[in-house]
Amino acid sequence: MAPSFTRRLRQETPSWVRDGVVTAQQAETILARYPESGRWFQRPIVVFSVLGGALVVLAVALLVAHNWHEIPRWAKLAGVLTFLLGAHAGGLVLRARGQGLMGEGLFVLGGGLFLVGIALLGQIYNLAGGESDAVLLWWALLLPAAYVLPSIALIALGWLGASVWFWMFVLDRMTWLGRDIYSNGSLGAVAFGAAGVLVWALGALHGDGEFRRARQLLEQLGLLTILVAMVPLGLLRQLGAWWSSGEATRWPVAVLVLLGLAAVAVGVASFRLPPDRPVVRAGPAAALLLVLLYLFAVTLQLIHRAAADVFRMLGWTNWAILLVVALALILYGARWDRSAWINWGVIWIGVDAVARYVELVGTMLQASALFAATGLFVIALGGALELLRRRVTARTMAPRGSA
Amino acid sequence: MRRGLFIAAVVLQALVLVGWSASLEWELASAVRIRLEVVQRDPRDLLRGDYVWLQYVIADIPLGTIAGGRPDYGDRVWVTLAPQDNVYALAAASRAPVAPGPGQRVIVGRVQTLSTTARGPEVHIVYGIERLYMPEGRGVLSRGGKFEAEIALAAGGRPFLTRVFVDGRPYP
Repeated sequence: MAPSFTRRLRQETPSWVRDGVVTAQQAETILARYPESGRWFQRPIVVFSVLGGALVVLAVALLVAHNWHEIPRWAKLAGVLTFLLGAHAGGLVLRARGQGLMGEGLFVLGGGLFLVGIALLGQIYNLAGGESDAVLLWWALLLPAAYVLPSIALIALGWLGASVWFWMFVLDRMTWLGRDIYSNGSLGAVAFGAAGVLVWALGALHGDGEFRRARQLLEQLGLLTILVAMVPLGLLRQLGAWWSSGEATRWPVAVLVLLGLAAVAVGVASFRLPPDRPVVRAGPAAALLLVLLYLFAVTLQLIHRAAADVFRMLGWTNWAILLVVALALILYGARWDRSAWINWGVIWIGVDAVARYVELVGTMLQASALFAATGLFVIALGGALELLRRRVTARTMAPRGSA
Repeated sequence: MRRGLFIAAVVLQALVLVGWSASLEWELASAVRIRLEVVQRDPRDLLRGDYVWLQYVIADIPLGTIAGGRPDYGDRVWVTLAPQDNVYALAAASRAPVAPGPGQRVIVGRVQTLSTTARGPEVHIVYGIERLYMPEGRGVLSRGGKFEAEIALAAGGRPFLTRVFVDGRPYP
């Protein structure tokens, strides 16, 4: 049961009793039906077991890094494999005994030891280069195990690995994506923006069932990544000649493939959003497709080395898209009871406002007009939301026969 | 059912590690040993420990000597080596696989950087043998002396760094 629901229930039931909606006894029965469990990550046992597992992984990693030449290669590998299999077996036993939260720590330990095993092979055989390939192997084999179990800690670890891998992949100029980005640094922000949309869509695909927590994690990671990518793109003109730096104007095929992949993922993810009217349900996907369209436009202009005026226009478009997506997040978050979306919408607006303040220094009258118009719009929107809330509350409170 | 799938997934991880290790052992066992001259060495990897960073004389290749035109970042390059004063030195380079002449060997690397030096445009190649992992505290070689690396070259040109020689003696 979602902690927000049980908490809300405890806040609301006294007023239900006061207004005669339910009797005091009925309220107690309802509360007993939904015991307050607290957020899963606030349970000390989860924090300590996951932290403990991570610390043991680090201990084994350092032990491996110490590198005893006297120990035969196969003995080293067998040692890590024994720890790995033992950790997972221990996790399964604890879970079977109803101590699943403690078992999470052992699963994290097992997942981390798999990475240690990969690193050990690199050490034994003096393998240099291709570090991102090693991390790819780790998370690609870790996530299937995490999902079939399922273990939220292992899933989080796997996606953390995927995020680290993406960073390494982008920063390595010898990879197909890194090669594009080294040809023009601004494409790095485009790639991260597309990856953010892809991660959000992958999160939405998890739905509201068993993998709800994974959805929340990935959606937030995606929204953070999009924001971090969009802000510098909005400042391309201010960054001077940096946006046009780079040696080549060839088509960045890898970046375009990533944009296409993100577009397909958003389309598919829209079917996994909460049930609503089709037009309403298409809203979040449409907002994020707008982001992808913008990223595509930036890519085209970077290839064609467009004039500064074009980048000025793209800067304004960036501002508008950030605002539109932020408002969509707030509205849909309120509609579908997803408080994280609301929080991110507010953060987006705040960050966008600061970025625009920096961008518009020098044209203060225009900036003033823009801020005033946006501020009034946001205040009006807040008022409209409050009216909507009151209307819904009044409708709920009214006796059925009077409707 | 799920428990079984999880066990299968974990066993797959273990099998990948064992299989990978076995394939590396297989390649090493059938590889020929050559020596390359080393011009630079040096840090610490948090997962794999102390290592000596090696840069090979054959890593920097004049762009003009690469057959098949200018390569891009990450492209593979087949470098032909010929024996010269107890070590193997650069003889030719190509963007396509080549058959080595008598006594020659072929090593495969990937383009890391393209730069222009006093000697003209050059390509820096990495071979995946630039790190020699050492026991803790022994990852720094003394300056001076002649450094050579023993490389096991697999049939397809994939190199494995097996050990380092300082003034002809194995280190450490």
